[in-house]
Amino acid sequence: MNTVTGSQHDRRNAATTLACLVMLTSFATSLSCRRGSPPPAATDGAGARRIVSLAPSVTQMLLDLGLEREIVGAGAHDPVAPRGVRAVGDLFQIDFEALDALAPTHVFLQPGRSGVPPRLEALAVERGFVVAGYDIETVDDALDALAGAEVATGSATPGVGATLGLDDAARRLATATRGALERLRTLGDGNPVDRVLVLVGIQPITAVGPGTFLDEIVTIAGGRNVLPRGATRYPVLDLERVVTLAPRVILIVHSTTGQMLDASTPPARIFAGLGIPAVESGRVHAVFDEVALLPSTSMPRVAGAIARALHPERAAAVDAALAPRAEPDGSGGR
Amino acid sequence: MSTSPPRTAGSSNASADANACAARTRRVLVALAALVLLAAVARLLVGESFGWPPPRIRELRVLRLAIGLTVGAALAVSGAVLQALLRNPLASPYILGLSSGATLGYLLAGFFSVAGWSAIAQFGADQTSAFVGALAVMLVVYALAQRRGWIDPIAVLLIGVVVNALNGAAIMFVSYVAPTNTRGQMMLWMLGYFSDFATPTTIGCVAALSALGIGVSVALGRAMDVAVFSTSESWSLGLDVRRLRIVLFVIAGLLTAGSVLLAGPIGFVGLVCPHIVRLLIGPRHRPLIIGSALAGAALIVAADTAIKAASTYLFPGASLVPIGVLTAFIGGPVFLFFLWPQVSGRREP
Repeated sequence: MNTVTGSQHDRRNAATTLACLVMLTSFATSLSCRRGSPPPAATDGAGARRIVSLAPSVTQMLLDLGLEREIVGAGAHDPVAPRGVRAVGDLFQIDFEALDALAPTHVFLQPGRSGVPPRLEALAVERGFVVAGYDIETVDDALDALAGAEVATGSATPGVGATLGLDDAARRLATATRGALERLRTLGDGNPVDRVLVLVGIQPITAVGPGTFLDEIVTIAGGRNVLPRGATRYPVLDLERVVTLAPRVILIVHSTTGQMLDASTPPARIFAGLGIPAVESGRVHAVFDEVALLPSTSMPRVAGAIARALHPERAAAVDAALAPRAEPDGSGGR
Repeated sequence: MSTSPPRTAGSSNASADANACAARTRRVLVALAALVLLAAVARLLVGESFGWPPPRIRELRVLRLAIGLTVGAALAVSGAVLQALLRNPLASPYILGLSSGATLGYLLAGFFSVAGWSAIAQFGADQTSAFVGALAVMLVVYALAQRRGWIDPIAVLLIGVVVNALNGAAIMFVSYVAPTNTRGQMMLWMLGYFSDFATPTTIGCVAALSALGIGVSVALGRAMDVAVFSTSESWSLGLDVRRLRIVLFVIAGLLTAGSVLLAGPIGFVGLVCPHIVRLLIGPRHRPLIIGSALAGAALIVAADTAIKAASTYLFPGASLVPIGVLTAFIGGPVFLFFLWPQVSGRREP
């Protein structure tokens, strides 16, 4: 018969606790190293741009401007950051040591109402790099940030294109983006689908209210939000409210497939049996796109996906509207 | 012919006091039951339109009512049981890390589903992961706090606090590494919302489990009264303290896990409701547990009703406030109201 003394118990418990801590630390390390590889040295030559983007919207613009190899740092949670790029913080905080080590020539961020952090401005003066912060909440904000003359907040720096000396390319890209959105808007003008409920969360049910970026995209794609303008931009609803709203179409928009629902789960199943018109007519659609919530040059793609869901009969016309073409100012499409 | 023993004035007074106490307990329990009934009727009437709803809407309201009753009663009784088990008035489902364990389970499932582990995504979708998380923490705390099958209240408390802190760190870590867009959804869940997609079967199972746990707790009420004394005194009075502690620990864990499954982590109910009821009817555990269950159910259902009324009639179109926020807003002042006479009357020795 085995007997266990108190001290043996203590040792065993201590070992168990230690093992738990080691496992947790290993897990943390493996996750934090996902973007820990050194930055690419593609543009390390004299005069080359070394761009750090802490704003995913700007990162997308940089990619569409063909500057992927010049991006040396990005936000830790940037869904569109090139693989292997060093993480130097996120929307809320900056890893100044990592940023300084990258020796950037340009730093883009989305600082919100607080403006560009004074410490970053001081570092920029000391190291001689350019800082530009943008407030990107709407379609116009995004296009202004790309090709505007004086749009940056917190400094006198102009838009991304002008900041990088790529005015013409940025203007062409902005024109192409706006052109694609306008063509989509024209498609939906004749017969918009009303009572569209747009959801960005399921547990709890989180909807998109009027006055938001996604609401703007849905309008462009030929839909009308079922929610009235309220105090909350992304209100949490209960099922009774969803049933009472009686949406004709439910769009579940998310940039990740996790947490809300598995990609293989038919979206209609979660609202089944409640007599909701959208469910009864089979008009519950899921739009999965990692840039779905990003006001940037990817907006036509997201608007196109929503337009196809709202107007399946016009899918070919939507594809045609998004096809690259020569813009009125003679610039090429994307 | 038998004669009854002569009654002394002292025993007569004690008997009268006991009768008065029992009558007061009955009155309080009836009042609490009436409160539950009132809150339930109000919940059935309050919605997008005020009044008796059509069948489809009524079904939704009944499900929310069932969630509110189950979660409120389970959390309050879990708190009362833990306070008895740990002999600590500050004990609540939060202090042992059960709620944070459930939260961590839910967030981990969500995180892994984002990473493409679809098998785990299924857990994240229906909150089963929260249930598993709470049970896992319960097992860890038990494994670390027991000595040859004996649960030491002080060890449970200390290990619970440590596990809770570790869970908190892990929650922050998972929230940090999760994609930004998922993080908002995770934070919302952590505030405590009723699950709109809990099926009647799930609600029924949790309600049955909770009813069983509450029933066993009531049955163990007398034993819990005895367990208030020291361990040796309890043993000498014939109580199997070791078995009692294990049973109470398991009950508290299951009640908390079930409530998190239906409504996410909701704080304050497990701490405040037992104290309010104790102030009203005294420390005897049998009526205390019944009263706590009623008070918890009334508080949660009333909070859910108030939230729905506010977002529909006062601020039409407004977002639903997390239920955990309102329970603290309601429970805190009510607790202070009951506690204040005792605190203000206390003098330094």
